[in-house]
Order: sequence, then C-alpha cells, then structure tokens
Amino acid sequence: MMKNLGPNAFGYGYPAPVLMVGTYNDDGTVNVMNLHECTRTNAGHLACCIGPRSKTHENVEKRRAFTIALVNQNLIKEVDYFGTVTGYTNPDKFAKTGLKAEKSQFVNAPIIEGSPLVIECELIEVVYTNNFTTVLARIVNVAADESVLDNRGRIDSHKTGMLFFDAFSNSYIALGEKVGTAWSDGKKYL
Amino acid sequence: MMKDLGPSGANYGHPMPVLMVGTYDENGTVDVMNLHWCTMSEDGHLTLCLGEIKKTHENIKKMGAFTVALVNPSLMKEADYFGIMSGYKVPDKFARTGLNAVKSAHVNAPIIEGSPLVYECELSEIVKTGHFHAVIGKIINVVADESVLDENGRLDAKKTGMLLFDSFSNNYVTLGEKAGEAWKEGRKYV
Repeated sequence: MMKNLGPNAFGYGYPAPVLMVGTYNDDGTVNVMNLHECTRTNAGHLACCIGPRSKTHENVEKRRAFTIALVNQNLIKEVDYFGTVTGYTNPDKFAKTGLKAEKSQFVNAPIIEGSPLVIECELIEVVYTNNFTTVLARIVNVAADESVLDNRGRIDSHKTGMLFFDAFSNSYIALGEKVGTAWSDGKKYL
Repeated sequence: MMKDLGPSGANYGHPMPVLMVGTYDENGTVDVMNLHWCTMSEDGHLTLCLGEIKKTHENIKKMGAFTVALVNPSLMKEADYFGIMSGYKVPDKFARTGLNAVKSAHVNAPIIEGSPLVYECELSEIVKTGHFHAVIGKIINVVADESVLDENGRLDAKKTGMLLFDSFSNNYVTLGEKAGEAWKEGRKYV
C-alpha cells in the first residue's frame, strides 16, 4: 500500500555520499564544507550543487579549483562540524579541527590528510538558470590512499569506509554488503 | 600514502544510489531507465544527468514529467536490465520484466509496483551548456510504500532496502549500519 507524503517529504533528499569540498581562502588558509548534493555527469564531469552564498562557492569562483573527498569514520566529527558552521563566520574552521592539508599537485586546492579518496577538480563553469545552479568541474586526478586499493590496484569501496548522509534520520550510515552484479543480474530478461 | 589514479580513476563515479526513472511515451507505453547520476539541487528539485540520446530524455521532453524510484533487492534484476537495454531498441522493455505500473495521481508518469519510495516530478527545465546537460525535476509528491515508514510515519532508509551502484567494482551494494548523527558529531568543535 502506497502512502502520499507530499512534496515537503523530499527534505534534503534520499541518502547520498557525504563529501568534503576543500578550497583555499584568499589568504591561502583552507576552507572545507560538507556536501551531499553532488553527482558525476553523463559527460564524466562532476556537478556539485554548492549554495551560491557559501564561502566555498566564492573560493571556487576565485581559485577555479577544489577537491572532493569521501569521508570515513575517522573524519566524521570534523566533517559534521564543517557542515555545522560557515567559513564566513568561522574563517579558521579548518584549523580548529587540528586536521592538516597539503596542496594538490594538480590543482590549486587542498588535500585533507586522512581522506581515503580525493577527486581533484578544475572549474569548468558555474551554471545558473532560474531554478538551478551548479558548479561544474573537470576531474583532473583521483588520488586514493593506498589502504583503499585492492591487490590489483583498484579502489575497494568498502576499504574507503565511505559514509552516507541519511536525511530521513539525520544520520551518517556506512556502506553495507554486496547483493548483486551490475550488467549481469538483468541478463535473464535479454 | 596517496596514489594518483589519473582523471578516470573513479570510473563511473563513487558509489551512488541506484534509481529507476519512469516515463510514458506518446502511446502510453512505460519506459524505465537505470540511473545513478542524480542529485538533489535546489530545494525540492532533483537534477538528472542523462544524455539526449536516451528514450527517457525524449519521453520527459514530450510528457513534461517523470518518476524517480529507489531500488531494493526485489527489483535489482529488473533495474539492472533497464540499465543494459535501451528503450529505443526494445520498446517493450518494461513489459518484458513482467512488472506492473500505475499512473501517478499527480504527474503524467508511471509508478512501478514494488518501488519502496518514489519521487513524482514535473519537468522544471532542461539545462544545456557546452559541457553540461541535465533534466531538472520539481518534486510534486513523495510516495512511499507503508512498509518503509517507521512507527512515527517517517521514512526509514534501512527499511527501503535501497541499493547503491558501486562503479569501482560494478556491484550493487546495500546501505550499512548507522555510524553517527548529523549536526551532533561535530559539536566538540563549535
């Protein structure tokens, strides 16, 4: 039996990966925001729906670069804090956590130490329309901590320890178990 | 120690929820595609990155509506098949699975029976730039199977059984255990 919940039940959407968006401020200090509104595009870029009034948005427009990192349990307190306060009112929010960062070798943006998987991005454009804005970026490099690679050098999502933001319960959730294989389980209908 | 994997290191992107996008063609035939390139954008909107060459794209343009449904293990084989086969090549692809659909009471698009959670969307706009192409849907209603609601009538992510597509391994993966609470874990830094 289906139940109508109305449009407001959409809230912050269905569970999606929690990400850290790393940028440099004007003075070279690091700013990090917490984001779950991000997807790869069909053209292979990343579209990040970052609020135009955020410090990160300003930094991305000025530096034309940013990093996107998956978040694991070791970073949960810090990333939650990054989502709680803004870089405008707390310019030293990154420093407060005691985390460290080093500059990406590929783009003008910081890589936060301890990140399991980092996507280094170069701004293509900020897309604005009446009902939509997104930061569109080209992926310049993907950097992975060696601990998240399997014995053949491929990324193992379980080893990343990546977390999801569940807006239904305001919780962070881990990845579960494998239940099927893509481009395989549906072959019975071919 | 971080290892550079190059710009294609993340394959089709980090693990994301698997979705079924349901549409009608001009004859009222149901078409469903498998999509994981989707994110919440502005409040109350979903942004779907899907190519113009898709049957779904044509249907959305003509009908001005679509549904987006989470996928659970009971629908995994069908959703996988929807991702393998194009609605242009096999116009009756939906019928072949034996699934049933009913018309949404709110938009001109089908709701696939057995879906745990469905977002009923009206086309807000199609955004196109040199590097970006997306379908923006406005959420008109959220409809949930009663089995996925908790005793307070709220959505329970675990009960939806929602699956993620892990493009690192080409597997479908479940959501795991709760790892923390949002807007709480980070309070020690506030």
